[in-house]
Amino acid sequence: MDSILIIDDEIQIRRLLEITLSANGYKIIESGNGKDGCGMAASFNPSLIILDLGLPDMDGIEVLKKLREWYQHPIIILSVRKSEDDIVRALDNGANDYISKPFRTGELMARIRVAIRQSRPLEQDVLMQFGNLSVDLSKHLAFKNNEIIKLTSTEFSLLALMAKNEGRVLTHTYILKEIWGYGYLEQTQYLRVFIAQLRKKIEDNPSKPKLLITESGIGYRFNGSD
Amino acid sequence: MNPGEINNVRLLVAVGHTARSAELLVYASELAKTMHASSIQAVYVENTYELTQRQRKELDYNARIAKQLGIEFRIISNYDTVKGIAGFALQEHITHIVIDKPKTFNLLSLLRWGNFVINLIRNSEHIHVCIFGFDTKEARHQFSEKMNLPSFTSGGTEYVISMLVVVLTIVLCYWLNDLVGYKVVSFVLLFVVSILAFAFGTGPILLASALSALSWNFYFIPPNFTFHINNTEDVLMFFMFFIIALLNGVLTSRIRRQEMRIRKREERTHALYSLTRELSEVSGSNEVKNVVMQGVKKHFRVDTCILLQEELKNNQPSSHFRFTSDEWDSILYCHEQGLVCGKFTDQRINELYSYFPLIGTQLKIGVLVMKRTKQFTYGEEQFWNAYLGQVSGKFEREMLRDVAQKAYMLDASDRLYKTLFNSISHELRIPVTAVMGASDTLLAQRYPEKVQKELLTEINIASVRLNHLIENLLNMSRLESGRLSPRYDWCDVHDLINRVIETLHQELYSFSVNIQIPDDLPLVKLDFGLMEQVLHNLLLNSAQHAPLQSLINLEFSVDGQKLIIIVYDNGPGFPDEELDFVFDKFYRGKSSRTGGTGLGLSIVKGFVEAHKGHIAAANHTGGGAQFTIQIPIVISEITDFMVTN
Repeated sequence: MDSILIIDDEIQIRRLLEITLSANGYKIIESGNGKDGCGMAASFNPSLIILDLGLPDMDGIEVLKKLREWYQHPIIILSVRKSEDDIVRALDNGANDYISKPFRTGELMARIRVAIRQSRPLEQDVLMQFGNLSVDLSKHLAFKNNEIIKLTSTEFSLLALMAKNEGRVLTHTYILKEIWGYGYLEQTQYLRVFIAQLRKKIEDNPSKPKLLITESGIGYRFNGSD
Repeated sequence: MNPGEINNVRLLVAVGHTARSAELLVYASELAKTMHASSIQAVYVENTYELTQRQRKELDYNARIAKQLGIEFRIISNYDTVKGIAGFALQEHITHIVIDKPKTFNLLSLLRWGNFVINLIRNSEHIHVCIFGFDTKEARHQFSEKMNLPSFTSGGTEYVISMLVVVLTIVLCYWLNDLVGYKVVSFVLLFVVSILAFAFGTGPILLASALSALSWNFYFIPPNFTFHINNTEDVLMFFMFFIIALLNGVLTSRIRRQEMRIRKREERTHALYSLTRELSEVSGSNEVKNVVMQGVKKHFRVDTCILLQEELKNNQPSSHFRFTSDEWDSILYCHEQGLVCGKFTDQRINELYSYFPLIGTQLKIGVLVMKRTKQFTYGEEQFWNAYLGQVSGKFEREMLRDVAQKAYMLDASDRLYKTLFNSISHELRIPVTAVMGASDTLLAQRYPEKVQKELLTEINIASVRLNHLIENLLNMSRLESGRLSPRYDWCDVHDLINRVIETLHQELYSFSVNIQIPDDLPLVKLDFGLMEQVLHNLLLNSAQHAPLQSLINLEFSVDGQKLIIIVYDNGPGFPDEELDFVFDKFYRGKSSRTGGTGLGLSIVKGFVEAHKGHIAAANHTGGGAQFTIQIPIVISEITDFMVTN
């Protein structure tokens, strides 16, 4: 059974999470502050940590950094802070996902499932399948309805990067750094244009994208599960 | 004597343009103290006498001495010095006039001086005249100067020109002599001399008069070509001619000089008027600053800058001058003490700049820094002080207006909080009631599955409503705090729409949304989050007001450097009388359904304005509500085409 550590000072939130997560078959460990949380993470080594940013004893980002020094499994931030700056900062500091309060439990469960699945690469498939779209990483090819999609090499890199991180929010900076390199971190307009191009080629309805989802002000998420 | 009785002693010192007057001022101020005078003033009468450079300096010096002694110094213009002083004294209810007595033994001067005193006593009615006696060389010097004939300050060219004109006239008249006779010639010459008087000073006129008189005698009065005159009548005519020419010329030039002086004053008055008018036309401290700096440059020909209180307090001058720490120290000194200092003043004279405090009736406004290469004359100084007063007044009004505006805003925010409380307490209670009621029911006993589900749905709806309210309040407070600055980033408008449509999926479920985006719409720089909220609130507003199943339209276009967004629906639209209020906080249309906070549209307006954009509400031709947003944007030069290649 997967265990989840909840670090949150609000007892009502912890209770809600415990009820919901237990009902979904997870084992729950709880902590009301950052210091204890770090200790518990060390002693229980849970499969996932849900971390609140507004903790009484230390800043959530500090806890995140501290955990990330050794902790390999996913960390999901659950916070009332919802400004784009806060989210990007958390993601850039190693959080796998960010959910703001109030949240929909359905959404939370889905994100948890994606994060846990991703943390166990059962030796990543070179051929990935998302509905009618398939991506062949070894041959650098993408198919839609079994037909080859004509992609430029940048477009393919972008698609591959997104697909490999399916379900995860990738920040603008991260994508720009991975595809174009450090000199292009500010060039969000390239990114926008490429995303738009890519959508035209892979989405069924480019004006209502189902695969490449925009996370406003933060980045993009590849949604391959439905 | 009882000091109370004498308290209405008012002294007037008649000052001249000599160093002696400075002494007189010192004596007078002592006298004022011993007499417990309630006021003391000094006056200088400007007449047709043209001051030399040195005398002008002396006069300026006297004016400064007067200022230092706390004596109000005035310059008045009058042809007659005595009448000027007496008139001024009467007008100001002066009780004692203080003058000095030059001791000289020149017969003519004694006569004149005697006349001066006697005239003054005669003209000043009940006012006491106090005469101080000094004996200094200066006095005699000054007196001899005063006895000189009106100044010969005209340049050499004027003498030459006037001579030439007279000679030319004589040559011309010599031709006409046979036709008109020598008597008419005299009139022509007189006429020419009078004309010359309009253009030239006394000296050239004297020359012209003498020359024309002699020439007339020599060339025209028989016997010609001699100075001898046969006829007694002609002798008389010659002398009369000479005197008339002289008087005519001198008087005209005197009047002209007086007129010039008046014109100069007029010019200053006009300049002051135009400066004041320019001031009155602008508002906002920075605007006023610019106008003052330009005005001063134009009328005084000096470079200035103005540092307001705020800049002085924060040590952040916004000026094209660079100040050393010593200069900054002087500026602060000038501001705090309210004293003029710096170059060409009485204090800290070794600096590069002069500093003038700007002081209103209640507030210390700031400091005007001036870079000047020469000292102001007394007249300029007077003009400058008058102007500075106007400037200070203007700045003070601006500041007071700001204060009033702040007070108004504070009052407005106070009212906002009251409204907020009333509105919010209502808006909060409703969903909380639903949550409480439904959950209580669920806890109390077991209900059939269908009822349970209905109650849970109620709780869910209430929580969404609460969340929406909180979201709006937070946005409102972001706007109210004034710290909202958009985070501009490149934005794909399609992305924006998708996000909004997706989050409003449920609310828009029973509507058709018609979205029009031109194919070639480029990327634009916007704050994604804020614009998302704008469109979210507008679509939600339409969804709340338009009839179910109707069409909601969303149109995008680019007009030059502006992004235009039009949202309109087929709802009832706005009643005409409500159009002006739709963006007001907590304003809710009379016919609006329950559930709104009255904040949505004011947030839209705030966010659009944060983008320096503009939003207008109107009724669409079809009848529904229409919102038109215009936002100035930066358009990306990168197009799909370029990227593909």
